Amino acid sequence: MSLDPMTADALVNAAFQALSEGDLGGAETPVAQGLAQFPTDSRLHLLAGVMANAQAQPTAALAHFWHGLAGDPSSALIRQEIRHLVVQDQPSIEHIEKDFSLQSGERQTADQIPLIRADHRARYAFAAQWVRRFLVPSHQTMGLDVFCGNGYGSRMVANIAGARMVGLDGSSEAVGLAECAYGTHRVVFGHAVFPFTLQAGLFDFAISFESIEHVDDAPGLLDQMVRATDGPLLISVPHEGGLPFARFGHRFEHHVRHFTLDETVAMLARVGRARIRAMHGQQVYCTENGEITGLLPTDQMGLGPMKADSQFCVLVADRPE
Amino acid sequence: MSMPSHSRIVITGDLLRPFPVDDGWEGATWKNIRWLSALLRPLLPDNAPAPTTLAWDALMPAGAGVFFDTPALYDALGESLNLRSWATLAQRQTAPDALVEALREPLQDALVIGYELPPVLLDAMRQLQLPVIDLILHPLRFLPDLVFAMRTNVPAFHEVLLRHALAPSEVARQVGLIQAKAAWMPPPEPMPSGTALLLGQVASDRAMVLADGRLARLDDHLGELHRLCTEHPLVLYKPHPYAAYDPAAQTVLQQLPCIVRTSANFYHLLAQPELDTVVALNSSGLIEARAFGRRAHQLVPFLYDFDSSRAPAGGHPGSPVALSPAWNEPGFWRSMLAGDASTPTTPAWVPNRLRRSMNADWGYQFMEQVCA
Repeated sequence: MSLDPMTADALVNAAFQALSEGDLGGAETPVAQGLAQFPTDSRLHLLAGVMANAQAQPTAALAHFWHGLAGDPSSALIRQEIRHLVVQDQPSIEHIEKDFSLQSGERQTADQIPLIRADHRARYAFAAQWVRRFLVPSHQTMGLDVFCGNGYGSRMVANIAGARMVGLDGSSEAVGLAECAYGTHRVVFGHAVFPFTLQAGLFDFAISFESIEHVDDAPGLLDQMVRATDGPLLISVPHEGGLPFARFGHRFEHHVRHFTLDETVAMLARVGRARIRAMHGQQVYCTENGEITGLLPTDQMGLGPMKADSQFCVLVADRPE
Repeated sequence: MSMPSHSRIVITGDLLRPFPVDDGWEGATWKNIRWLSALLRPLLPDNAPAPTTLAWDALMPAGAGVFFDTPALYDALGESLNLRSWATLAQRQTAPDALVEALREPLQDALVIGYELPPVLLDAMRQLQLPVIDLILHPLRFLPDLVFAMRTNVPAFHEVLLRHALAPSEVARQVGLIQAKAAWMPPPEPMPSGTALLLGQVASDRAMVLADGRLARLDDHLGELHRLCTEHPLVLYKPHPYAAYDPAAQTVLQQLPCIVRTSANFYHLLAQPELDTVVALNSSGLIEARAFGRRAHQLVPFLYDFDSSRAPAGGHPGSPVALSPAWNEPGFWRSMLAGDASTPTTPAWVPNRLRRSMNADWGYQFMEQVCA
């Protein structure tokens, strides 16, 4: 059935009316006709995405949402729908006793990338360059950034590799800042507290820097990442060799533990990412007599070879060939 | 058509195209015709007839040529004199009788050397059985000097053109030089990998005339441009240097706010490895983009098909042949008019000679920049 020529508003209203009455089929014609006539109208893409999701077609739904953002990058509804699509389920957060505030001391709070601390930028710069180099064409990929903080890193990957990015974080304040400072029509942020369940198979790669050590169930977080992507995981963790938790744990009040390289590699292997495609170490802190005394100069915070005393370990782990 | 005889050489152009002025219309191409005439006079052999011009040129110097009364022709055709009528008329594949008759006497027994003749004029000349050489500004504008192509309806002339064809290696070498230059310069814009570039054009350019006489507009292609925005992390829009404000482009930018306007130099942009795709209605920039290894996507057909290799037949011209700088030397014209297709020597480029003579520098100054 085709409709007589109608305005975009009339088509949106017709589709909305049908959906309100639970008539998915009745909404299909006005949405299809609308998209053909008004390809930039974000409302029609939103409706198409919602309908696709209702028909258990999350990949198609997400594509519609991205298409909608091309016409209206600031559409709060579409940005929210992307988050709802990616995070299928999460527990009530009332019982979780964590400091999710922006000023917790654990978070980067700058709204411009150059003002982010150098060690954090170095990890994401590496990730962006790796994606650009190995996931070709990188601008056709979509990445998930788990515990994205204020979002600078997702935006760095988008800026350099051209990838679409969805960033999730448990801090609604951080997500608010991320959306304002680093959100674009291809970079969307959403609030999600772990343990959550992610939509399966939506992403080409997943990043999680300085996150796994924050949760009680690190393997569970990795499980969700590999549920979200069949592609590589780019992760970083504090390294027991350089920052033994027993000695330095009191300086990292939000950390649950630190990891040895072997533990990290084994954990990745257990979720099917046994092939280590890149590995780097990183130094960030000055230590004296077993105490952290400050930060290293920024020019010493870059990634280098992984060593026994590296303070951080940055890995790209992929499925076996 | 064998080697044609002619007793005259007439230089002309798109006689039909009007240009709006304060008190009405004037010819849009008289400057092109004066330019071509001035350029060719010293290049033609001494034993060739002295060239004259045929132009809608109200201030044509006495004795320089024949004035073509374009308004009278439109009147005879029952058409209003305006750009829309021209767009429709110029695209016609069969010339109306009134046009053929208007050209019969001024072009009698002439070899016609034209500047970007539209299909309807070429057909009129075919009907009059005239030999024609048509000069076309080639889309590749980044070589040491402007490149021109020629097409002709004379097979012997076509053979000469092929002998003087621009070598692809010359193009590749210049692309390499520009990319080498760009390697020393900071990127003109922050560009993620996979960036696309949308080029604006001059709304009334002849290339924009569609088969039905309408003018192509960017906002007629919102669907494709929307798709471009969904497939590329960044879409830059570069207005044409002669059309900074284009209402159709403005509509596109309003509907697709993720498109970012840029004033960066076109060649500097083309040289960026992050640039993946160039899109335009049918801008010459697309041909240049292809030379730089970028994907190029035209939204409407090109005005000229520089990829084909059709020989002249039945009085119709062959495909345009991009030429080496030789065409701007007397030797070329000696060979051309004699139909001598022996292997020529290719002269070196004289940088910017034609570019300056045509006042058509566009973005080429990029190569002259000194960067720290």
